Parts: sequence; structure tokens; C-alpha cells
Amino acid sequence: MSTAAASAPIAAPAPSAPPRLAPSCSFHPYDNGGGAVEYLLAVGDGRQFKIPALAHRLLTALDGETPLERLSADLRSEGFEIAPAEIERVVGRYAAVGAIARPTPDAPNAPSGTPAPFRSRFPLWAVGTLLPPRPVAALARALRPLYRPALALPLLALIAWSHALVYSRELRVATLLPESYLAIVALVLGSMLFHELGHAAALSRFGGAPGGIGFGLYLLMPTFFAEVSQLWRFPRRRRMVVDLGGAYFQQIAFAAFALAAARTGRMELLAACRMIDVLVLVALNPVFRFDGYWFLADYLAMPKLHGIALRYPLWRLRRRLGLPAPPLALPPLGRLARAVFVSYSFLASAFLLFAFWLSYRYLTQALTQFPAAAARAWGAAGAALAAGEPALFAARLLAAFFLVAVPATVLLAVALALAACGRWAGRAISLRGAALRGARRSA
Amino acid sequence: MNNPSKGAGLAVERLLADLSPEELEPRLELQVFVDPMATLVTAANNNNNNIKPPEGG
Repeated sequence: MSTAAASAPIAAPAPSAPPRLAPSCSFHPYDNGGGAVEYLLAVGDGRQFKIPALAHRLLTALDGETPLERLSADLRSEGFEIAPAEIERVVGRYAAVGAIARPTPDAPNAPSGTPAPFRSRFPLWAVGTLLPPRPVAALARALRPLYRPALALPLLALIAWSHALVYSRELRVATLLPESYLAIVALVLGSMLFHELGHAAALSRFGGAPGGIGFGLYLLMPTFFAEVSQLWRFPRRRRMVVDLGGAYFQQIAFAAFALAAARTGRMELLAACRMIDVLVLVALNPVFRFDGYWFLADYLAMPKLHGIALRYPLWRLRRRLGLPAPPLALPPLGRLARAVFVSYSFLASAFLLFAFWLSYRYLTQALTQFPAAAARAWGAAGAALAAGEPALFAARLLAAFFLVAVPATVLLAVALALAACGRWAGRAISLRGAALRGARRSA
Repeated sequence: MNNPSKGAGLAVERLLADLSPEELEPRLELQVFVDPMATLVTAANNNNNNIKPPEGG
């Protein structure tokens, strides 16, 4: 289980005392899609690491009493040649990530049993908690029956039927008032919260403890998220269910809104349904790091799918041309999985190139019109406020926010992509230089 | 000519690299809130309808 972060860094053991595994560590089998046996190591501060079987064997033998010489001899008898000095270096690496206990009892490791605090990483920032882990766990427990086949199958049928209902009706949005617009936003935000509970409930159904649900800015776009890091400990099929759980729950919200629309004839409910489908489609797009991406990453057993998939076309081209190409760390893939990976790799690369071109065209247009449009939008919001119309003001304020947030997000994304390309090119040039210098020295 | 001590050093480095832990990133299932006005306008256009967005949107 995840545990809280230690406030002080964890020191490597004193050279004289045999090292001991930190008591807050736990091991779990890791499903890597059929490759060599690997384990998942969870350390006291909540971080999780993929480790090979030999490292697992070595770490579990660190009881604070067995000298490294004895451990080395034991491993040699099992067919692993690893000297005590090498074991010490390996232990040093694990001490650096908090897996080795402090040598004295008065300096304990991170206490176990407390949830790890969530650390956000750019491009997700300005993060806030909507629901802390405890209420999320309680709600997830209450909602997990929705994954029982006896309930899930009729619900899927209801979802299909509700789509037929919504898309057979005309969306007369011209009749919507600012209040209706705010009601639609509230309904959609509610469905997004339910989406995140869907991930948490799936994790809970498989025996995991979900983290909190929060919101933040992804670049500059408002974003909801559920922390489900414990799913790394589950077999890939279960991880894939957790990945799709959000879309499933949001579609249940869609069905509920559609039924309400059929009963009341309210246009806001129909409009909310349409928006939910757009959001779900965005979430299932496997190119960006949303639900669809993780579903594919879990199916292919590639935790760093982007890194591998986006390098693959160039790697294949280099091999075709007979140029040196360092091996790619691909897990064993069946015929279907290989076809999926290769298709994804080429399509995602093409999609990103297309998105790059599209962003350039969008930005050249948006940025020239931006000053006048922004002034108009903010002026309109101010006028609504001055006229004492809070609903109209809120609707116009939201529209003005997106008028700024969308081009700014695209601009940031393009800048980040260019920076990544620059870093990659710099690395490639320096590697090439090092290889040439090495070849010259050998000659 | 090959240097045996250099070869052994490389083998140790490879072993250490193989035994090193690889961090799995925290799993956050994200959902982006897209521009609701644009979504509704698109939905309306698909339906051959018109929408009057709040002025300035």
C-alpha cells in the first residue's frame, strides 16, 4: 500500500551494518505482458518502481543481519554472479529511492499506512483537491456494483438506446438563455466528476485504494483527474477496465440526462448529452495522455508508450537504410498487439505532424484576431456585469476565458513540442559526436 | 586489442543498469473540459441549427 513521504531524506546504511529493506516497502507482481519476470516495488513515499526478479530476490534478502558476502555466495549458488561490492552499489541505488532502512532504530523510514501526498507535474499545474482520498474511497465502494455484469450489461444497453434517443432529436440551441448555458455547464461538470469516480470505483472493485479527485490546468485547459496509481499493481486487463471506467460512468450520466430529457423535453439536458460525447471522445483519443492513451499503454504493456511509439517510425527508417539503430525496448508482442503498436506508432506520429501544421494555421489566424476579439469578449462580460445580469456575465466570462485559454494552450503546446525536438536533436548530435570520437580513438 | 578489465567494467555497469529501479509515473486519469460554447455551436451546426452564443463568445 502507498505510504506517506518521509520528511527527511533516507540515508544509505553504514558500511559496517548489513543493509535492511525499509519496512514501509511492499512488492507486487508486475504484469509486463509476458516478458521476463518483474516486480513492482512500492516505497514509503508512495512512488512505485518496476524492478527485475534478481533485484527482488536481492532486496528481500536484506534483513539487516546477512552480510553481503554471504548474500553474494547464496546468489552464486543460484547461478547469479554478483560480487559483494556490486551488491553494495545496487543497494546504494535502492537506498537513493528510499527502499533501504536507516541503520539506527531512532531514525525510522516513512511510516506505512498513510496515503502518499499527490505531487503534480507539468503540464498539469494549479492543482486543487475536489475530494480527498477517504470520501473518494467511500463513494467508490458504494458505486462499484455498477461494474457487476448483471448491472453493467443492461446499463450498456440503456446507454446505446439513450444515444439513439438523443441523436434523433433536434437540438434547438437558439432557444437557450444564459441561464440554460450555465445549467449545461453544471450538468457537464457533474458528469466529469462522475467520470473520475468511475475510475476510482473500478480500482476499488479490484481491491485497490483510489487516491483523491482533483482539478487543475493541463497547460491552460481546465482538467479533472482521479489518482489511481495503485492500478500498476494489477494485471493488464484490470488496468484496462480502470482506464475505460471513466467513459463508462460518464455514459451512464449521459443515459440519465437523456431519460430526463425525454421526460421533461428540456433542451439543456440534450445539449449536455452532446457535450458529454465530445468530452468522452477527447478522453479516448490515444494520442494525448488521457484515458485512451493509458488503455493502449496497458494493452501493449508499455508504460512509456509515447517515448517508444514516436521513435519507432524513425528507428524503422534507419534500419531500412542500413544506418545504426540502437534497439528499442519493446516487450514481447503477439501478432495483433504488434499490428496495433505499429499502426499506433505511424498514425500518432502522422497525427502529431498534422496537429502541428493545424496549430500553425490556427495560431496565425487566432493571434491576428485575438486583440480585437479579446477586447470585445471582456467588454461584453463587463457590460453584463454593469447591467446587473449575473447569469449573462458568468456565461460571457466563461466564453472570454476560453477565448484566451485555447490559443494560449496551443501556443504553449507548440513551444513545448519544439523544445522537445530541440533536445532530441541535441542529444542525437552529441551521441553521434561521441561515437565518431570513439571510432577515431579505436582506429 | 580488447582490454579485459574494461570489458568487465562494462559488464558490471550493464548489470547495475539492469538491476536499477525504473520509476512508474503516478497514474492520473485526466479529463479536459473543452470549450462548451464551441461544442454547442458545432453540435448546432451539425444539426443545421443556429445558436446565438453569449455575445463575445
